[in-house]
Amino acid sequence: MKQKFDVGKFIFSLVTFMIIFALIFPILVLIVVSFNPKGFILPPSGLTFRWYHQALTYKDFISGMYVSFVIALVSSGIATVLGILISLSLVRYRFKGRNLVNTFFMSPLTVPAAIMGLGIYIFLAKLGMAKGVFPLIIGHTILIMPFPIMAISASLRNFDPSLEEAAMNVGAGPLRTFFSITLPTIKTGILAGVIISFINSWNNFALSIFLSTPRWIPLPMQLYSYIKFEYDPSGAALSACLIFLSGVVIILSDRLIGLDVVMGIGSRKNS
Amino acid sequence: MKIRNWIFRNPPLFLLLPGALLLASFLVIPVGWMIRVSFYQNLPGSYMKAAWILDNYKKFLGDFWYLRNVLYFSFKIAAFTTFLTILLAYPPSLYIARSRGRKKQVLLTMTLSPLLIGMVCLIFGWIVIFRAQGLLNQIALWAGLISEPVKYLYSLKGIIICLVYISIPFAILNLLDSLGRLDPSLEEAAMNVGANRWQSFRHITFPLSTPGMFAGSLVVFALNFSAFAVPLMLGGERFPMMGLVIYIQSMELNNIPFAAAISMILLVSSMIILFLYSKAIHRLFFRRLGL
Repeated sequence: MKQKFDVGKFIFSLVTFMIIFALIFPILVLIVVSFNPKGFILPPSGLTFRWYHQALTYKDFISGMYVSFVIALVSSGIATVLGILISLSLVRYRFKGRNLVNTFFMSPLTVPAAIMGLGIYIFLAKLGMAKGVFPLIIGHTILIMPFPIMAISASLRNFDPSLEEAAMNVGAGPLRTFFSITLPTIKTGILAGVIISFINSWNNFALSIFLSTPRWIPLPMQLYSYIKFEYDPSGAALSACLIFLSGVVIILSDRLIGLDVVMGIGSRKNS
Repeated sequence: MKIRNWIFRNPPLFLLLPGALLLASFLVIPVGWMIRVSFYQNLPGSYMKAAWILDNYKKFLGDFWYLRNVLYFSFKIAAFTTFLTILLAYPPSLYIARSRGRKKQVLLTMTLSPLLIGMVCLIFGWIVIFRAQGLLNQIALWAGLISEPVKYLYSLKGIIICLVYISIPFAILNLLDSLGRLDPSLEEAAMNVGANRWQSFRHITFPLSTPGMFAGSLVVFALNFSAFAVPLMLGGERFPMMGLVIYIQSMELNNIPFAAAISMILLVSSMIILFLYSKAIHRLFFRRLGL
């Protein structure tokens, strides 16, 4: 009886670890290939930075980084500021239709990217605005808006509102209370919001492809067009760079507020 | 002064308005405007003309090819990958929900990390694995599982593997949402009164996880039904899923009204499918479980 019980547990653990290994397998493969002198021919035969040098001096990748950086910075900035306001009202006030409002602000997560991209493209064309950096920023801002709301709401929920009341009682106005009490206590949530929304904009492909012009091509699209025509390890080296960046983000956001909270497990509880 | 008072007494509106306006003007209105554009007339070689015609819908819904090779094909792929995703996401979710402390943290980070890595990178990783001379074939040949390289790239197998791969973290998130509430002492209690491992899973754990499975399958189905980056990168135009057809019609063939009509068909059909699915789930599962 005892023996049989352990076999079941062993099989369950084995299956679990095989699945988890499959989840990180493509990531590991890219990292290994990016350091491998023989590129895609595995097992690795040494260590080289040649592919990194090639990737980081390739002018399309550099311009892609610049474009993605600008777009991600501006749109995550806007989304975070709006996210602070929205989270404050969603967490602090019990108004009629609050759940509906919450669902509304989470809706960018449910609209398919192709439809969102095409919709924004058609609508801005109607307003006389061609594709380019401005539509990209608008699209990305809309797309990433739910993330700062999730992160900031999570940290607002852990924060005791009586602190604010105390500040008000000793004579601070609402703005002063906000800047000297509320903002400092939720700053980890805000930071997590910025980071998560930045990385989501930085990585976005499906929306960008509808809104970019040859002058404004974000990095994921540059990578896509590169690997479409060239199959060489510098694509893997660039991917590895992006993976390292995401790794930093994952560790940071996990430390700041908990990865599960940021990714949405906590978002539906008490909201 | 009166206005100021009103603003401070109703902060939700004052705080919500900027975000709501942005979302309304660049998500709600554009999607609404697409409904109108889907009745426009396409002018081949030029742009489009305002009209009230049904040609775009007729072209899709009246053509057996589109219905079978695009709509039904997307449905089939989405349904199959959703099933596979939930199946494969279940063991890790249960394992993570049962573990504690540092181990839980590490496992969670590993399983959720694909969510924060760009889709293009992830798919490229699979391309490296999939290629005829790629890793998967090398390993399978070495292990003697196959006698000649199997074609994954530009094949349905590759698309299904990638769609499932990208969906698993989303399913895990949803499953953990309900399995996270699982109290290990419940399982222990069941075992103490004589239930074996399978019985305690069947009667305690599994019922607790059904809401997460259900929510996860809704999310994953919606995601995969409209998938577009995966079929674009792995299949090219050979596997016309709904999202990809929207992209090709609008950006490559410049037939915006038709693309808008397909978008509307995609939205409506996915709503209908998800509605029917939740009805069925409620009838089959939740009522029996008394939830």
